[in-house]
Amino acid sequence: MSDAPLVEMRNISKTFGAVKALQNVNFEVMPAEIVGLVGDNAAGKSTLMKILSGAYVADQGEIWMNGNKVHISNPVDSRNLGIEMLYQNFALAGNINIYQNIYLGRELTRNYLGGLFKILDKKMMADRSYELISRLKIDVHRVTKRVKELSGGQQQSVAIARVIAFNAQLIIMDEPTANLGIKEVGRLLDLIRRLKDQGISVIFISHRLDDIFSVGDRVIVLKRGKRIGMRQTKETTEKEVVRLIVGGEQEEEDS
Amino acid sequence: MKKERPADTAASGPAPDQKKIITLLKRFSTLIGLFLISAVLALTSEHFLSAENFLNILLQNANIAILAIGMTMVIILGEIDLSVGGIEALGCVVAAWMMVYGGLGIISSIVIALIAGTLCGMISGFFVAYFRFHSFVSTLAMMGISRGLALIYTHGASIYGLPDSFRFIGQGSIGPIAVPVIIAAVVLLLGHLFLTQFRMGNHIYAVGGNIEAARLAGINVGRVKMIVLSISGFCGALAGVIMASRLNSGQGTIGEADLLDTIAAVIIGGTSLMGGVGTIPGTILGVLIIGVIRNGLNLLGVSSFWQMVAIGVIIICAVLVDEIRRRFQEKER
Repeated sequence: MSDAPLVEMRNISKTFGAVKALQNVNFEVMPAEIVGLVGDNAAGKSTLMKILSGAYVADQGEIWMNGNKVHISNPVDSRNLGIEMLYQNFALAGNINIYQNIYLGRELTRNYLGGLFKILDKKMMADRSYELISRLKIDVHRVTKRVKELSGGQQQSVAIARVIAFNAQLIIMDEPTANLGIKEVGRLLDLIRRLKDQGISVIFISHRLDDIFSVGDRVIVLKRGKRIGMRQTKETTEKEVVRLIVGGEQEEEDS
Repeated sequence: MKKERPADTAASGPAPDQKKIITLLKRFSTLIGLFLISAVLALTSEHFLSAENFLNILLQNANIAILAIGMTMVIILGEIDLSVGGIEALGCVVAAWMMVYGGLGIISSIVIALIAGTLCGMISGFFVAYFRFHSFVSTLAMMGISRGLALIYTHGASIYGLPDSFRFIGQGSIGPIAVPVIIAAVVLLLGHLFLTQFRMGNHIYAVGGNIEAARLAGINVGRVKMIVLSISGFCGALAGVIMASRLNSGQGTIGEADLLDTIAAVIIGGTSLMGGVGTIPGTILGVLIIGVIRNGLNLLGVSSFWQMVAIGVIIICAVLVDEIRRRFQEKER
């Protein structure tokens, strides 16, 4: 693992009304690293990641990527930097079809009349989506099927196809294994390992520590909006991490 | 898709042939409705089934069609536009006023009227997009503002003395087809292409289906809303210009009944008020259903009061068919 982080979040704070969701949180992920982000409910895991994906904007703090300070104020900024997020509720529009969801907001077009008209290239989007979906070994036969007609697992696959479709450097997954069966969890963990092999970093929010321990390199623990600890998964046990989550005091200094 | 695997057809449920027929029925239920209504009217009135009457129906409903095309986009987006009738009146009056008192030519008067209507839509869209107004509220306000301005311009009377050549837009025809019908057909084509072939069209469906997902996908939701309400305003003003030409005058009172007909046509055409679902061709079928019923009942000498009842019943039937269709689909899963 190289020393320079791919992404570094420094001193991130965020309040919602009177609730301090995050207080001076630092977070870093290395290139091709899988980081588990754990903590109790309302620890601030999703909030922290939504700041990185541009869904929220931090009140305070900085984000650095590849050694440069970056500004992420909306989802487009984050995507342009190569950061993709798999949301817990998938964030798909059920009324449109699979390829339209995969390419939503980044539709492929063809220029007509010297670029005056950009017409959707539906065939290209459909073909590429089909390839992606086949690679994920999903049993969806038609990419023109509307997403609301799919099962929960298939919907998640569409959401995954979307995050890997655009050469991401970092993929954030919010509770990706929460609603999956054993077989599907195995398949997802395999995918995460493959992403790592391709040099992609993955941040993995989960309640299921065994999943994190089976693929993760490091685990970072949040509690009530503060970062209270970090462990290399090889050098710790699930028991110790649970102890941190449940009863942990802050063992890392506020910077 | 061409890559469909054979396994797909072996799915559980009705046999393939039966399934195909059901899919067709589901898809074309509005069209079938239109044919059934037409068949009944053809059998009961000898005048109904003639080319002349058909062209007449198209002309009578060209304006509603134009309004309904804008409204379809608004409703797919999950919003509503109550101001189309008012903007129609404003467009009618502005065009007439510019020609008669403003000393402007026909083309520039029309352009100014269209800009005025687009601006009205843009203003209601602005409050929806950036102040989180419900479109029901902002377009309700715009309904009053636009109609009020139209009446102020005309002092409640009519503006007469439009140039003769302006009549072509509303009263002329190319071959057997009236110009308003041609204009409506062009708007229909453009609207359909816009919704199906352009990124913005895709975004309209996505925002209507799941606004949060659209936002997270990087779509500027406010901008989409503003553009769509502007389009609806443009359609309103265009209908108003056509009315000015057909009536040979600018009148601030036109189009008062058009709002409900427009919404009715869109709903009969299969667009869901919940947003995310609907097509322009469907809406045109809805317009035709309303037009055919009106026309047929007129030919049969049925009073316009009963026509209102009939259209109400059709709305209920159309939504009921949609609902049954939806439940059927859910069962199929």
